Formats: sequence, C-alpha cells, structure tokens
Amino acid sequence: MKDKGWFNIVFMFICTAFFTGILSGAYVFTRPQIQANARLNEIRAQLNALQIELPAGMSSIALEAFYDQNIKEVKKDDVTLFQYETEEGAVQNLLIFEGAALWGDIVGVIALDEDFKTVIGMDIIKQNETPGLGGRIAEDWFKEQFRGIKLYEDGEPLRYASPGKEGQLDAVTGATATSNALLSVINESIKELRAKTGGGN
Amino acid sequence: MASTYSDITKKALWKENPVIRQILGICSALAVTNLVANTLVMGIGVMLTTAFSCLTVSLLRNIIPVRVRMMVQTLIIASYVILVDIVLKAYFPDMSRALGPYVGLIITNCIIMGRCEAFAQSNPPLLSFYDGLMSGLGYTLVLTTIAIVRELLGFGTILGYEILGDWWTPWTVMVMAPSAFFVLAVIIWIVKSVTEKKDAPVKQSAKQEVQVSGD
Repeated sequence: MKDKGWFNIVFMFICTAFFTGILSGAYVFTRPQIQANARLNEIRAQLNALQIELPAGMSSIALEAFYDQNIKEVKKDDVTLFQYETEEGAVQNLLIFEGAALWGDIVGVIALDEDFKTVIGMDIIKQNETPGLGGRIAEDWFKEQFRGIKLYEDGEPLRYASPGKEGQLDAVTGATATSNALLSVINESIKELRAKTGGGN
Repeated sequence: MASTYSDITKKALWKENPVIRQILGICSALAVTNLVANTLVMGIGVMLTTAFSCLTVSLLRNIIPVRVRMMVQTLIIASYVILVDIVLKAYFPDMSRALGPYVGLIITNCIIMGRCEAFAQSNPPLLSFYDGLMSGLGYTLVLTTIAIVRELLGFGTILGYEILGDWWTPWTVMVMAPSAFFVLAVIIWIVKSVTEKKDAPVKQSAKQEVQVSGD
C-alpha cells in the first residue's frame, strides 16, 4: 500500500495541510506583536528624524501616547505629511519616502522645516541592504549627516559630494548602488512634494 | 549504523564537519560572515532548524512513503525556517532587522536536507535531533572563525567592539562576499595539512572519500 500513487498524493496533502496549519496558527498568534513592533519602529524613526529626545527607559505605551498626542497626519494638496509643532510654535513636516534600492524596498522618513528648505533629520524605517555595506545607511554616522542641511532649490535637492562636485552628503564607501538609490528615492519624494504644493512656498 | 552521541559530536564538529569537509552551506558562509553578530544569529537559526527538522523527519520516518520523502523533508524544513522568521520578527525585532533576508536563506542550506536524508531517515528521533544540533554547531564554529577574521580586518572590530584602533586601514574586500572564499579556503588548507600529517598511514583511504558539494 505504501508505494501506491494515490497514497503518496493523499499523504502529501495531509502533510501540507498539517504544516501550513501550524504556520498559519503561529502567524495569526504573533501578528499583533509583529504589527506593534513595526509601529514602534516607525514611531521611533519619525521622532528620531525630528530630533526629539525622549527618556531612555520610556515604555512603548508612553511612547505611542506621546506620538499620538503630538504628531498629526495632514493631507496637503494630495500629499500625506505628518506634522509636529515645536514649543516655539514652528511647524515641522515628516515625509515618508519609499522606493526600490539594491536588494529590496527602502522605507524611511525625512523631517523638513515649515517651507521644505532645511532638513531636520532622516531615519530609515525598513531596508534590506547588505549588512556591513549598503546596510550602513541605517547607521548613525550616515543618518546624522542629514541634520540641518539646506536643500538645493534647482535640480536634485540632495547631493553627494565628490571631487570637483558640490554636495551636502557623503555616500557609503563600497555601497554606491545603495547610496545612490536611497538619495534618488528621497529626492523624488521631495520633488513630488514641491511640485504638488507649488514649489515649496 | 549504530552511532553514539560522542561519535556524532566528533564527526559533526571535526571529522565530517559540514563546511570544511563536505563543503556544504557555502552560500550562507559567503553572505553572513562579514559581522560576527550576524553569523552567530544565523548559526543558532541553522542549529535549531536542522535539529527540529531532523527530529520531525525521524519521527515520521516509518510513515513517509519513500517516493515523496524529499518533498516531505522540504516541507518540514521550510515550515521550521518560516517559524524561526516569525519568532524573530515577533520577539527579537532588532535581530530580525539586522538579518533581513538571510533568515529565509536558511532553507537553501544543504546541511539541513543532507542530515535529514543521510541520518534522520534511518535513526531514532533523539539521536537525530542531537545530530542536527551538532551539525549546525559545526557549521556555526567554522563560520564564526571566518567572521572573526573578516570583521577584524574589514572593520577593525569584533562584535562591534573596536580592537584595532585608528591606525588600522579597513580592508574593504573583507566586507565583500568574495573574501569569505579566501578565508574559507585558507581554513580548509590549514585543516587539511594538519589532519593529513596526523592521519599519514590512512592518507590513501582518506583521499578516496567521496565528497558531496553544493550550497
């Protein structure tokens, strides 16, 4: 009986049903936790881009509460932005950017001042680049370069500096493809924002 | 075929080490060894998936029809790999982010299927579990050695701690995948030279051993 064709097929079906059943169960069971992790990760990235320092031991619940209280989602001429009002009353904008890099999609956030002329900060929410090479775009030294830089008005808002060429940023050595992909994704988002909101005024 | 626990340990870690003797698991040896931390997590992932896959295959070994056994093994391995991925995402989000696509790559590791097919298929569950664990450990030890060399020369650090100071110029090649080949080749060379001297009388038979390769 064991080597009959129909038994093999039935056995495969039962096995597949059994193992996919276990996986579906595990997936459903852990989904809330995975979603909560993803949300926390995004909140941390956004707050980091805004350079908001929070107490180190802050619980995730307090963090979410702080975020919900202070950051508002706004639709501005067809573009979704998140806005934060500083204690001095200045409005800061958070723009989520998303696009293809070398290995997978990059999702990140860039914080801009009220009239989209100065960068407050940048952080990566999700990336799948090579650890140690392209993955270094998520390291602090790279992200901190974005603090306080002025965007170019014409052409690409952000540029890498190279010999003989002016720019505000340094690329990651040995990871040119990832560096360029990241910057073009951010630049596209900023240009789209400028176009839709009337040249950034 | 009567294997004992100490036999299995010796074989998996040294005599038949999956990476340096059987040249298995090379794909991931290239991919994850540029940082020691990544290598350790990957190693633990491979140990767990191999051990549990072998356990499951061994438990089912008398029921699985011979003709579909490979399909069933693949199914079992894939299930455990996805399970590891889910658990990392849910409870170790930082690690999951650091490893990214590599966790899914565990399934391409020949060691797991190799052990299922060569050992678990014809041995009792506990012994198979132990064999899987040790094979994974043998893999981890070799990869960690490669990773220590690569991280030290490529970044001047080990596990992120600075060892070599400012005077050191990092070797970019050590960060890139090909350097894993160089380091692995040197390790195999050293191991071969050491063992061939030691096993001089049995050199002839050792040379006749058929080696399987793959990634």
